[in-house]
Amino acid sequence: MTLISDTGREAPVAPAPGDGMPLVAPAPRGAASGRRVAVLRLVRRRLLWAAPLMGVISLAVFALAAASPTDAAAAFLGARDEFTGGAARASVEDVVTGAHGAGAHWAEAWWRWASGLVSGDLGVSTSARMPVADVVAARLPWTLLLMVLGLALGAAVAVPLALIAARQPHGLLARVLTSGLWALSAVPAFLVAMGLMAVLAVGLGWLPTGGLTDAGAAVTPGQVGRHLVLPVLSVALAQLPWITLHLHRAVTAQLRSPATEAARLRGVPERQVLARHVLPTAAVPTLAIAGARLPEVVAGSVLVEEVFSWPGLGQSLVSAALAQDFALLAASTVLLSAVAVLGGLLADLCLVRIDPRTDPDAL
Amino acid sequence: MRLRHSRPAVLLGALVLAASGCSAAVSGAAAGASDDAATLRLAETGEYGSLHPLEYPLGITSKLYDGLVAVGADGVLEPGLAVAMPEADATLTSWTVRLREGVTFSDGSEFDAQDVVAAFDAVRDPAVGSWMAADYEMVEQVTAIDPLTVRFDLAYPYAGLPARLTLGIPASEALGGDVVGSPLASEPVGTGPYVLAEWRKGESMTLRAREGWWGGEPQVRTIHLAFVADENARAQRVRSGEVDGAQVSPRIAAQIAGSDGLELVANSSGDFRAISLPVTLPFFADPAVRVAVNLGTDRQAMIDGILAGHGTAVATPFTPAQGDAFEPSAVFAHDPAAAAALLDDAGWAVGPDGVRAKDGVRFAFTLMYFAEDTLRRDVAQAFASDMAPLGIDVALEGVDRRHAVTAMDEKAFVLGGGDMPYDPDAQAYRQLHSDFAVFDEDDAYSNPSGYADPDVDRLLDAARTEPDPAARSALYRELQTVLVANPPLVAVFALEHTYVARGLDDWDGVEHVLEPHEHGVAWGPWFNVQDWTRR
Repeated sequence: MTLISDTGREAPVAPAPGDGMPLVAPAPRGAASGRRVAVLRLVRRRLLWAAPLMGVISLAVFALAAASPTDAAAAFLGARDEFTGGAARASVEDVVTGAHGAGAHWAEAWWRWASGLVSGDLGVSTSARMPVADVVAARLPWTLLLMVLGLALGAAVAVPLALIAARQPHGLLARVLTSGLWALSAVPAFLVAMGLMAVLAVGLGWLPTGGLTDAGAAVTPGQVGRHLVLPVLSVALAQLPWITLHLHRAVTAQLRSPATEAARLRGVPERQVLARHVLPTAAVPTLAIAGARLPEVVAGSVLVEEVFSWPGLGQSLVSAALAQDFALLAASTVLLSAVAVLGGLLADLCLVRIDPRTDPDAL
Repeated sequence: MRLRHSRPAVLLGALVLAASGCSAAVSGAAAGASDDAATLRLAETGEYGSLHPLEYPLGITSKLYDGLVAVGADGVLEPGLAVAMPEADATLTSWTVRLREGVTFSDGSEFDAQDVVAAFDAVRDPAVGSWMAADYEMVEQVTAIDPLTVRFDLAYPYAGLPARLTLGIPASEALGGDVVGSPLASEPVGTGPYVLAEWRKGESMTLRAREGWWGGEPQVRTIHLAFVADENARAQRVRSGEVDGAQVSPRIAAQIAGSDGLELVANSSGDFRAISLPVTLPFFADPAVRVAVNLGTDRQAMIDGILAGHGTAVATPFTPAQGDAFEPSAVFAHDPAAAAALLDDAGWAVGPDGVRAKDGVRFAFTLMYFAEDTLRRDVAQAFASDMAPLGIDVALEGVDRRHAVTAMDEKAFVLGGGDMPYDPDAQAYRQLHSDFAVFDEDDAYSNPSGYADPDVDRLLDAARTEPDPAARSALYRELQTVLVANPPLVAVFALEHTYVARGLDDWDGVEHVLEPHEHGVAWGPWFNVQDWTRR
């Protein structure tokens, strides 16, 4: 993992707001409304771009899935494939590929899927054996819950860690912390998850080892909350290193900037320097990267979902890919791409809000 | 997790819960407290694709559906929805089944002969797409004689029919369309001891005992199945006490049994592993070479090493589980010296590179196994290392299912067998009969070696049409001696399926069963959970 280059774009590190200047500049009235219009332009531009992008992505999913060597009938049969004799296999193939769309040319299947989409019909999933809309409705909330909490916890821990490390960049603590985080970033998410489970659930018995609730228990916030702890910790631990390391770098640079020095010289208390001058500016590049990293967060939580039998969308995405389940595969891919586009937009909007010198028209 | 940081997150969580959890909460609450002695909590090996009985004839669907015939203790077939075992006429072509009276489906409708006819018509109908259609090719017609009598007319005499009548019978009204689109896949309507209470896709399933089941009221009222695909995670869950049992590999079972109140339960099975020897390869055309390869295989070492001892060496697709039909003397000793001598005599001399050759052909071939199946991979590796000292060069290739069927005629393959071990015909016929010897991608797993032996054909055909059970068993035993003289494959071992379980001592009626290839927590000590009584 590299710090910046893996996102494909370098976030502009904006110049620090001058000393005494409030975070959001009290610009003249006309300029403020002009800025609002520019932000709306940004939102509209991004959303207009998103539509053709989703179209191209879904087309690519259909084309790639059709080109994959997986056989729909074999995937449907799974282990039973081996015990399916002669004519029976042929009729299974007819049933799986015929009436349910997998057999048509991929462009035709895509067209059928896309035109159904316009009328609100996401199609039927052959791997989950139910309407795609139902699969998504049942699973997406659980995935979002896991991702949002994991990211939030990761960020909440990353901020103090980054600050501590940046205060004395050559101190023992900073060196231990950064090398520890580099090491952690190299550990696969599922290993982290298994380790947490072995220690906290099996060893100490503090937490359940998986599932949405205790066996057969009702889905209550208390039950789900307890079962969320380990998966959320796993996601947070997977995200913690890169957030901390990015933030650490930006904070270190910011702490030595002339503006910060000037603030200190004028006797602004250190706490205030950190809270008002350093952190907001340092957050800018981190936020920009966070938007672009969302798809990776989604992908990482797939394995965590698997280990903890968490009923999220990640599991069904994998089975859909293996089963030539066009409808579900396309829907999940487009949805996750939409999450990435919206996440990027959200990060940019935060950027505009934090840093008044950002030009929405240039984003 | 520190509360200070996560308060907004908890709020968000509550919102999402409100949006997605209400329907689940209603049925989940009824499932009861998990410490209730009448609740069984098990970790299943993975998500079910479907609960359609025409897709899954045994296993979990046997809790929701009954067949005319049921698999009983030790794998002995017994009447299910039939009042007695099916009766055949003297020619074995006409079978009559009398049905239980007063049986109802879980939707309240009455069970009768029409439901049986509909189920067996559907399983044979190509438009329905059941993978078991070929298993019923002998059935010509199913007729309802009266509401409680069904007659099966067969195209040819077939003694093994009762094992095929284990098919779960759904309500005929619910049986519409093909297996993929059928609502039965997720909304089962059967006559079985349990009904589906809740299915949280990707996470768990809860079954509840049915009021008014014809077999009595099950004392285990609730069965909760958590889907845990990862074996280590499964073992952790059992150890932590969150579930009462799970299916795990022999090694892991041996590790965790004995602690945390867990005991190891091992059931014998008709589930065997074998290596095909395609006769299109020049060396395998010679029966003596096939015998040599069998003699060179150290089966016991594989059982000890791969299965931690939980298996039985076999020489043919027949396993000791076949009872009287099993011939105990039909075995291959591990005798590399004799194997080498046979190969020398057959003209396969060791060349300068240590590999045998004859007329310019090297004794080298590829052995395929399913890449994701670690058991088969281990068998393939052990077999290859047994062959190396004999001067036979075996290259290993992990393949996907699509590739396996296309290459079956020119590459050896690690086979799994025994999907229906309750009759020897179902266990062996398609593996051995020359009718299936011609390679066909759509039927690659039937007789994968392309084996043909007129004696074997004769004995298989005679046995399936023999009405007298003792005479039938004798034919199968004779068949096994022929198979050892002219082996179609290297049968390696029959597995014991291993489980860890706690709390079995609280119940009477826990039995062992003979298991098919398919397994999971619908088997193991829990296969007859509906019949358990509290001790």
